[in-house]
Amino acid sequence: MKKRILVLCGAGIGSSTAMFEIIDDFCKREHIQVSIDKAALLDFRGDQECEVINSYDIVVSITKVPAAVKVKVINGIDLITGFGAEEVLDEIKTCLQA
Amino acid sequence: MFIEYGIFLSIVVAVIMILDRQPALTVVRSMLKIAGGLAMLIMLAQYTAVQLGEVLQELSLHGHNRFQMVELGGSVCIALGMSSLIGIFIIPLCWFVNFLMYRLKLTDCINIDVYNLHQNASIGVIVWAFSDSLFNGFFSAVLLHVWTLIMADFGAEKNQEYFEVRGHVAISHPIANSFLIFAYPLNWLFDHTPVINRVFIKAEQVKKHMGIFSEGLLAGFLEGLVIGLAAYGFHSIQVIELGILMGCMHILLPKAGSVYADGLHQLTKIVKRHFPKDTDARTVLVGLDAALAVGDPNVEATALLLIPTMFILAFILPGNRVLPMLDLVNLCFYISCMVPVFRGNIFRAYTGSALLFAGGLYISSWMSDASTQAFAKTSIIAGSGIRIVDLDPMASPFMAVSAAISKTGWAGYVVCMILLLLLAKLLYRNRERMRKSKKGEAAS
Repeated sequence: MKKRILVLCGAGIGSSTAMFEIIDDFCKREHIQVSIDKAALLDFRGDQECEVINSYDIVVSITKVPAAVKVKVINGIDLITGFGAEEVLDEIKTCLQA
Repeated sequence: MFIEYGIFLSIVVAVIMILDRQPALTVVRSMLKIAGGLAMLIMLAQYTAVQLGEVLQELSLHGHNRFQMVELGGSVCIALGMSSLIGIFIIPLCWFVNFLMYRLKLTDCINIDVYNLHQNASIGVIVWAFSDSLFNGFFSAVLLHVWTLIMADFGAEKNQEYFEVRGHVAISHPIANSFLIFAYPLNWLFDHTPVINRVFIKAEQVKKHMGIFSEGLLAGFLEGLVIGLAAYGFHSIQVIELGILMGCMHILLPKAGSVYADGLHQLTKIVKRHFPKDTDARTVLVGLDAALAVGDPNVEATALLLIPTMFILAFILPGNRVLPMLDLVNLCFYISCMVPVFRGNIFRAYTGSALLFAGGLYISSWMSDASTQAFAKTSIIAGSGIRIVDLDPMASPFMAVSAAISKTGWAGYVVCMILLLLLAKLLYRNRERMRKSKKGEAAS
């Protein structure tokens, strides 16, 4: 089954699109089958919404996530700055293959 | 027509993208998103202004005649800023300022957050209306960018430490950075006041009791109910209608804003591609939106506490004429840079922010005529007789500063610019020295 990634940014302004593109490009390059969604943390702060987040395999976020999120969270801020982006992508790859 | 400036802006963006040799379809898509996002925002703003204007009239019939302004919130500030003569030029102008400051070693920060430049533009437009001089407007917008970059450098270390991000991250959000400097004296005051220096609030407690305010629909609905009850009393269906309208606006406005932001996405990529190549020889900070801070529990809790507080402040502050309506959910962005200075102490961040925003309400009251004119000037909302304010950017201390400078004419701007650049050089040298001594320590 395809793994599912959720890309989370603070307010849904820009940064999730940037991370989405980078991860999407990377997965295509590496021939990894994956489905990616993006969302804003501002819309996902309640406990019910955290259940939605928990239904994903990996969360890539630029900001801290609520304590109720139990899935693997990767800090994606380096994807945006470009410094250390490769390491983040490698981490995502390892998690996808696990 | 109301969208002509949006079209001009999308043409400017298209020219930049074509110079960067991007495919035609990508260019067209970005143009449509920018013009379309602005059009959506303006349509929503016009509709909301009329609806809320009626509510305010009703409020004044019931004795609350102090509130004469509709507050439209941060998303509409995008339209005010970017759908104007200043907005058209603000992006290349700020890029140029940033490039010069980086090359002249006045800043380490390269701002890649193109979206938030609308705040510079909107402050510019309001100053333009206030002083009736386009030149003053442009200069205010640029001055804010210079200040933002200086403060992004200044706050970077604390932000990195507190938000647990790596060494290349800075927050270059204009409004957040305009509040930052005030956190230092306030924190000193809290440190030196007995009893208060030991007060501490836990984030979980706040979230447990105030969590509903973190959902836009619910927060807007409750807000609408309170305003509606004051305006229409208990026996009217209009109370619930207003609640639903305000809830909807809390969802629709950010959605429209994010369409516009998506259109700017390619510009951010262009800045990143042309990033300075001497990053090994120099420390570079990447200036990002304050969005990286909103997930922090202490930022969230402080912002949640502030939402009802702003409401209460609006009613009790003597002489205040602004009732916050649509900007309350954005408060978390404005306080984000201050929270690390208060070391995540919610009580301090909350008290400090409440004081600053109380000042912000007065600034907004003072500037309300100018902002109403600004909305008319950009023909977003004209000739309706409704007075309009926007807490973002009008609650910012920089709004008051730039309005005050505009009274002095161009000389004031030149003096301020020179002072700011001197400050930038001083801080840069300081950082350089710190880095060298750190390196020296590491080597020995």
